[in-house]
Amino acid sequence: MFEETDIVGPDMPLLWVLRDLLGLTGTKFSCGMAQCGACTVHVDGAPRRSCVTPSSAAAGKAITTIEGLSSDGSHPVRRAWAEIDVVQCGYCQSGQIMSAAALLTANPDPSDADIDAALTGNICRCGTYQRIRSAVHRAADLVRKG
Amino acid sequence: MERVNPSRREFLKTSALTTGGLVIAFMVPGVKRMAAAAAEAGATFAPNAFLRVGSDDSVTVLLAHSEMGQGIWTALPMLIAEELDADWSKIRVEHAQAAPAYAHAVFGMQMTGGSSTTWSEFDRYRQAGATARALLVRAAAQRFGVRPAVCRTENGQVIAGRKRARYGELAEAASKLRVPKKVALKDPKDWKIIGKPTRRLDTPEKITGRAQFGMDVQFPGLLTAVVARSPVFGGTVKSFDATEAKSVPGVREVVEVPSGVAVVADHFWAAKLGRDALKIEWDPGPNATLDSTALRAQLSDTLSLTWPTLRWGRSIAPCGSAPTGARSGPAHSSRRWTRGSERRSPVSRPSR
Repeated sequence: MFEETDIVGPDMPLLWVLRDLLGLTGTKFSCGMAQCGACTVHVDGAPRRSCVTPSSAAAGKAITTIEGLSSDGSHPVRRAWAEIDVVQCGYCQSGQIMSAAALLTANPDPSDADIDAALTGNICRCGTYQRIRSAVHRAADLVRKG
Repeated sequence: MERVNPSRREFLKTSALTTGGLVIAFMVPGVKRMAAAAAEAGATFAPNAFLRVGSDDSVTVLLAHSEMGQGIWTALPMLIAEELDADWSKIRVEHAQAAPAYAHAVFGMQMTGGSSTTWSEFDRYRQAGATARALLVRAAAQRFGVRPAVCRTENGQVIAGRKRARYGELAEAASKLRVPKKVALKDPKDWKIIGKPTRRLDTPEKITGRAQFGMDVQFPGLLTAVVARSPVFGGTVKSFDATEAKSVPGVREVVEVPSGVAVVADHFWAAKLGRDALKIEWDPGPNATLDSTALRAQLSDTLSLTWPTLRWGRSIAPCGSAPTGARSGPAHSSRRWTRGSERRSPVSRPSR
């Protein structure tokens, strides 16, 4: 663990508290300006770009990272991702999965348009978008079937 | 890196793991000393291993190339598993370290690129798998008291009649056998894995955040540096004042480096704040007046030039199809295109 004094000012982004102070490197740094979605985490259940979320704004709130989504891979989004073999290089996928999980909590049966709207801020340079969309539908199925 | 001649390199060897497994490795002139040193230290370090068969039945494939989304974390193990008749569920994968044995079979240096991994490794990885299989079969034949020819392999086991042995049980004995000079590869019609759609082996790590990318490497005492660079191409540092940067909590040191001024800190954010607090006077150098407006004007001028048309073909006759007004310059009159026919090149140097 880290000391509170390791946090440099109230503006230190949540991303760097997670990665550099807590060693949770599953959340990725990419653009650093909320343009790519690779750093997406849940703050009190809602998707947030941790690279621009001041740690002061996250204080006292529940933060969930990719590591905490489910330790054994049993989360429906993870199962769907594995089934459809979504991933290529994988760098953006923590963020994709966190955005998808938040979407399904808010909307258990999203349409293609809902998925596109919710995940439009998550960029994938490998271009896995078609499989991501299929996997979100599949995850919704898995949630329904329990 | 020293260029390794592939024809001298294809020399397979085995060695035993300290845990009682089999390692299939390629010897490269020059790394013998390194391997010997490791053996003395009693480590399982195998600087030229391509596959390890553990006494726990695991088959670990070492990748001589980097997985970066193209799928070789799965494709190269498929080559080994095919020839080894391995149990696919027992396959483990690791990136190899930097060592001459992992030099690209065609390009001679350890590298990944040009869509070359699978075709360039197609023989080498299959050969490694086939060699391991041959050794495991001989170890099993000795144990069963039969000829190797009556043994077959399937799903990580050697089978002879009613007798069966798992690869893990045979690995240590196999590691003591002499490596066959030549092993036959399967007839493609017998392939069970190659050519079949196969789930990626890197998915589990990548969907749990466990996969370690370069930026994720951490170890005790690791510091982070952020470099302030000249705002002008080719500019250099004239002088800088690091007083404020050094007062940022977590900043350890500020040093001038060839690309600018580096702030070294406990973590990224402290380094970044330190960089922002630097006061630097730059010598902008020869590009001092270069700006976006000038660049845009230059590009715009270039667009309005008349472009010649190049004719691609086997002919070495001078290009005759340039539009009126375009003169033949050395850029296209001296080049001979030898592939394709009558294709028009959209990219050629404009003539003035």
